[in-house]
Amino acid sequence: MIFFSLILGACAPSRIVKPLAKGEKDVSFSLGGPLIGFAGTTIPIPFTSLCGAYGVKENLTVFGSLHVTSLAYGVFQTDLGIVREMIAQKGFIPGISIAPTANLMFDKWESTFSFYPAIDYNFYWNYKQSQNYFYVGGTNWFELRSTRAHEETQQQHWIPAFQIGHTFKRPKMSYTIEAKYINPFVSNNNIIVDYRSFGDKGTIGIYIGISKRF
Amino acid sequence: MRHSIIFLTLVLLSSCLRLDDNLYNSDNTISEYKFDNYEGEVDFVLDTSYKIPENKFLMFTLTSDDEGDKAEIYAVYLGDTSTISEDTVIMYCHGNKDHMDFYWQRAKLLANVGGNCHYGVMMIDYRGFGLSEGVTTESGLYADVNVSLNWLKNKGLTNDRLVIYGFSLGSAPATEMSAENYSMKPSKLILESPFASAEVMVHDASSLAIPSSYFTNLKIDNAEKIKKVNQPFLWIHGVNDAFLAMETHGEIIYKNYNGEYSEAVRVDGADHGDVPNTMGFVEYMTVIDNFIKK
Repeated sequence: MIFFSLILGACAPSRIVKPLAKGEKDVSFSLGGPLIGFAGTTIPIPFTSLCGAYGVKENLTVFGSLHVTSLAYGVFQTDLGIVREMIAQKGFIPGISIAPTANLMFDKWESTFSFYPAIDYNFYWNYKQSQNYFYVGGTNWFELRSTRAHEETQQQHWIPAFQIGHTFKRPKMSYTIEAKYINPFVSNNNIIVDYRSFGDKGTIGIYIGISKRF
Repeated sequence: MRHSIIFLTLVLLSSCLRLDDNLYNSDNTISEYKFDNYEGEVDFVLDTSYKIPENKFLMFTLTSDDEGDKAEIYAVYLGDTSTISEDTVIMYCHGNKDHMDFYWQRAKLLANVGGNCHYGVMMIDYRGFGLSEGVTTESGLYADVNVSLNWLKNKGLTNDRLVIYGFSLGSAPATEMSAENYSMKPSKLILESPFASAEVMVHDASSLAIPSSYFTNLKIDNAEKIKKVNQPFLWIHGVNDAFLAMETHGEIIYKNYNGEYSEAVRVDGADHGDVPNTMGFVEYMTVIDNFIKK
């Protein structure tokens, strides 16, 4: 019946996995979302977003995004954050980055503001002397509200996801594909959206992204 | 500055998309109603012992006026229209799927509660469903049910013999008619697999307590509206409802009811659309009959 496609933490793939070089700029576009059953088949919800990033230091990048699909629904949604490389890659030992993010939303209908802090972490491996890299990691959204609809207690305050992805890096362009296992500890039964997953927990998200560096 | 203006313009102009219409899963492509001969998907099919005699079936149209937005809607009455002034009538508000053909078996089942056509049953296709004209809206739902109640009233039905029954989406107009002042005030309210509010749908689907206004302008809020209902209330819900969870939707409505009498029937093993057949038709009809006679 209804396809309220609502896992907002799953609107986008990991923004910046590996920090940019100092002074480098990056603009990216991403498409994809949670898999749902729709018209007898399974499709990823086509969330879209734009993201801009800037390398402040060799191991520190700032970024900000605009969720285009949300905007089309009258909701201004952005995530602002930084990515810091905690450990550089050494051979088979992966590089590790952490990205604290502020997700901000505001709608034109009832002027309601929402803030969701989140933190991402990623392990990444460049391979075969190329700039391509493979990564695995996690995304963690936090719900700060204590109550939900009709003054019921909000039970879940941590909404995790685990991602795996690959970035093909060319001199000026990058192409990324990512899969996420979203909210993997919570049942996907008895809700209005027909999320698709490995079993009866969470949902799988599929994303593609393209970016250009300056 | 130029970029700011472009950005603000984008925000203001690009916000016409809403998910409201997704609530109404209607089919208005049919050219006629088939009722017993309908071969499309239905939740269950009754055997011939539930058949409605031809002289106890009437299909007709009504003109529904939603603050100037007029639509001709289709209605059926199961029972003897000449005895509405004496009979007890169930106003059946169907769910959000397709049209009356999909709900025909359910209406027939209710028309067999207490015996064949013991109670009159009225069912309509809301505007935008089946052959009914117009576009479905929240206020249109209420206007369409209201004009039906007005038709019953003009046939001699009185409030004390009117029972309103809402299934799924139909829980909204059923609760609204029971709580507020319309053409008639039902004496009893029955909700099967009701939904609490758009907000609960959003919260269930996202796991977040996120404002529902981010997705929909729907104001339907049965969980709040039920607080204004004082008439006796019967709530029936499938324990395994995979669409509108019993715990987050039905239980909230039941908990918020503060009226004179309430009864809950939680049906083990039942999903959203199979409560009557999971209960067993005889048991289901007995529960309805006993409640109406209370």
